[in-house]
Amino acid sequence: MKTKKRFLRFLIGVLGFSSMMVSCNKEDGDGDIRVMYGVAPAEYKENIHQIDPAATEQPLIVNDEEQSH
Amino acid sequence: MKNKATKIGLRKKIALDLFAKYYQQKVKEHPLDTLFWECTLRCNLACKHCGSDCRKESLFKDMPAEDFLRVIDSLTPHVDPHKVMIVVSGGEPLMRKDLEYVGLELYKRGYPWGMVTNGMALDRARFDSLLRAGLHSITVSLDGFAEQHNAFRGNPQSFDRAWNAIQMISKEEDLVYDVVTCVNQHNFGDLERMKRFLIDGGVKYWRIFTIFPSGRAAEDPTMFLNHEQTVELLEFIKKTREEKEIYLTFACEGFLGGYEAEVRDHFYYCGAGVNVAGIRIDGAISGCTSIRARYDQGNIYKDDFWEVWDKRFEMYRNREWTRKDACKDCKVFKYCLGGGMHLRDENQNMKECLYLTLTEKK
Repeated sequence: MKTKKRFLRFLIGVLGFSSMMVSCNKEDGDGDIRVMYGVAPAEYKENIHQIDPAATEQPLIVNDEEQSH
Repeated sequence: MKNKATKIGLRKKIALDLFAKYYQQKVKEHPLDTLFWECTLRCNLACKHCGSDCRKESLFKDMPAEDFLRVIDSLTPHVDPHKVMIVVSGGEPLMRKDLEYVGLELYKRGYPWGMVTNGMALDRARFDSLLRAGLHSITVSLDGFAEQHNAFRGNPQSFDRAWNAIQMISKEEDLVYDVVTCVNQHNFGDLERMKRFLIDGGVKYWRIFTIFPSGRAAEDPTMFLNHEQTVELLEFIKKTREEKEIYLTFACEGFLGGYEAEVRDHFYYCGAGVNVAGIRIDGAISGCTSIRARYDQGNIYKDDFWEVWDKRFEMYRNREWTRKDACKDCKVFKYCLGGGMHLRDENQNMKECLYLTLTEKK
């Protein structure tokens, strides 16, 4: 099935619509495209934004009054 | 009425035919790549156009984090987590104090996650804590300049808060983001000015959608664009994309005839139940959370999520049932398959057809 999808994607590209068939703005080996639903799809990144494993152990700075507008 | 939407050139038509075959392959595989979590129906605003009719207090309690994470753990053996985007939606996700906890747990399990927010509660401290919890993608709503945005949102500070949030987000490396604008009668005339405002403010990614009749929006006819405005809107998007000063795209709403491939990066298709699933506040397993009709396929409190995803969703994957009324003899049915599932009501009738709006002067 993946081969068929890749072939269809190739044909669509030949017709000049290759930009319609990319995944997260780049080719996807599985022949799949990614479409934006809700948020833009992001590639998983290790250690993105200096992950802090203790982040959830710290009290969050959330002001209830601010939130309750 | 003849316009660009009614004319689909031969080359594009062949590409659309091939894409329809591609879509059928996708249906057979139904590779889950997007999972919505409706984590709360509470909201710190009460927007006029809210599709979920959210308010400060909700009849539904927030879903406990552990219940959602249990679903994730049951899903993990069946997917490559790196390829499944978890989209936290609401309500307003920032109403939850344990969002960072859930986010970090998702990150630890290898899932990229993102959220849609109105930006009201997104100050520097909260943003930093979300980043430390592995936030990968974020969308902030901005529905015009201060007067309109605040009027829609019913809060005099909402524009400033959203704009401050956008300014922070747009400067953050490694974070995928966009600004989303709901275009309607009230802000339609400001699009050019808004484009310039966003560009000058350093925003690079902008997405536009039109109102669909759901939730509170269904009650206000001034929210909807007419034929001429809808055509003009697509022309605006097309022109902006050609200018390349800001990356602008139209949302996934519906088939656009001749405008296909010109206002967004993909041919139209509704991924609900094909590659997109949603878990609603009450545990219902559905397509995307924009679908307000109860086309639920199961419930996480009774069913195994993966079993439901793999074996059910028949009405999402075979849309022949939509071939009725205006769709019955429609010449583009093979491309649009009855439109987005979120545009069908409880009785499976179509609430709105963007293609009809574009091609017929009402």
